[in-house]
Amino acid sequence: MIEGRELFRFCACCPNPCRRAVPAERAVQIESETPSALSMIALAVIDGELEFDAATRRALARTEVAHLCRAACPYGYDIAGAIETFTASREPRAQ
Amino acid sequence: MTAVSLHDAARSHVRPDWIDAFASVVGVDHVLTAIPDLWAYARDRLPYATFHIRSGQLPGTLPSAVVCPGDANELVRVVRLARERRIPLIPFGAGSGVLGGTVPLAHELVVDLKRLNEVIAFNETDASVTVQAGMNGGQFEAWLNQRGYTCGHLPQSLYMSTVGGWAACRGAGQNSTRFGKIEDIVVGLVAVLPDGRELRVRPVARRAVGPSLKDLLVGSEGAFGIITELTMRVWRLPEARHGVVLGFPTLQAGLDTLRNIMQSELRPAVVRLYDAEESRQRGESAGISAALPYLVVLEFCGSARLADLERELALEIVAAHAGMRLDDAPYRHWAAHRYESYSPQWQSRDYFMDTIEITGSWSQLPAMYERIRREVLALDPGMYFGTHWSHVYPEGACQYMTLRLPPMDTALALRLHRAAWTVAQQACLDLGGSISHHHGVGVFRNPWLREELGAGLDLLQGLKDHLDPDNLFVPGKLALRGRAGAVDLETRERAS
Repeated sequence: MIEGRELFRFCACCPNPCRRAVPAERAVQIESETPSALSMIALAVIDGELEFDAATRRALARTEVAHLCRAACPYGYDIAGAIETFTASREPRAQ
Repeated sequence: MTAVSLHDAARSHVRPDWIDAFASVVGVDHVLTAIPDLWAYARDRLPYATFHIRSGQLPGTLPSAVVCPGDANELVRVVRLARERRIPLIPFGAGSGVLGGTVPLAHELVVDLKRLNEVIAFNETDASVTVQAGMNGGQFEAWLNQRGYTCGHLPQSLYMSTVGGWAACRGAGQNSTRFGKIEDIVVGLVAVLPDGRELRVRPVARRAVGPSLKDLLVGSEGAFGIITELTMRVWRLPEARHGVVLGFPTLQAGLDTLRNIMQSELRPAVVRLYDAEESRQRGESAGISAALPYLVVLEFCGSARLADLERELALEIVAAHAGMRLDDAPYRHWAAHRYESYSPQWQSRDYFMDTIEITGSWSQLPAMYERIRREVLALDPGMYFGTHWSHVYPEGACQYMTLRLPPMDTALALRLHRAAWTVAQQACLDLGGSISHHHGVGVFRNPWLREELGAGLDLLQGLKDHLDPDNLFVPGKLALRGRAGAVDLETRERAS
């Protein structure tokens, strides 16, 4: 199993076969909540292309869809968990 | 002009001043303007886009914004607003296209259709279903399966695509040999034209009321209108499925077998003939060897009696061409993984992988394959080239080629990648084929469409100019006129 940047790169290059797990009745149906897009956003942060600012934090905090997709990932990855771990690692530690 | 990094694009991005007008139509929660959201919509699955995205570069531009209408009425209002304000737009399903059809080239507004995702009507007497364009393909097929039916359109991208995307790109499923391409499955549709009017093609089996308006939209890739709903044929789930795995001593014997199966009026659901390279990877454990280097996978389905009979008749043809029955492990493996993508393992490790699908006649396919293989492999010693033939017809077949360059200097790889495309498309044109069987044109096939369509491209441009005089719908795709200042991928590669 791969993790960290390698995992985000893999998932960013994957066309989201897991997206069928997103319920059709969900009010919001946007690309940027899919696991592949979250990975693409995280990858851009790691590579210095995207600032870890309020907008990026908001985008990476939207992991509900990725949690729903977990069971449908053909490769068995937990992208929601990886994103949450990544985000936590970027936040300043509480004193 | 080189590709722009996300970092630079984000710094220069300006929030459009018209966005509040769209928010008043679809609701503020359904408008996206933040850079991370726009980054997610800056690509589809065009491999050239992936080559850029994985290193933080934009294949084209960021979209100006994303709006997500909740129903057809909202979509009409979005279209009218865009026209009033001269805002170019791109309809977006699930972004699974591989030719760049939804990649923004001039900060277009992206209109995400995934909220239009309901089945509207199901008519078992007529064996038809009407569904909104944004419904996920896998969910649509599951909905039908629960009721004992199948759509028959089962592309590898089933789970990652939308029903509207299938039609807009004129796609094909893996069972197309039996059930047809999407243009054979769609019997009616509703679309929003660039002026906001509704175009309604009544769902009937056949008609004689002039040229097919359905076909003006099926394959238009959004340039002539946005499909909002489709009425499609459905079929009862097959009672029986029989997989058959075969080995052949020569490629010609394999091709002749497929041709004779089709010309004998048999209707296998799955037909896949692999070249020696791809056969080795898939069939060695089943008996593919130096004596039988070409693998074929077939599937027959339907009522048990019909599937049995078709299989037996096909096996008679196989025997007449020196084909041998092998263990069915390759069929089982294919069936278990048929909806998965095998590209992430390569693209994520800096390989440059792409696929090209063309259509050729039986009389030209052998020469088409040999010429393309020879010329592509001559481009670089590290180039991988593998081919299979699927989607077969009495007249010919789809030739589906996989190319892959190892990690190397990106500028060099992009030149070799484009050269490989040129080799494949030119050979196809020279030998009377079509440059695309089912992936469509998008932006990446623009350079070769004129030679295929000839005066027909002027006809399409004339229609486009009439329907969309401000060139707002998907500009610069389908080899139609682009917008001033838009990114031109071909020119950019030449310049770099």
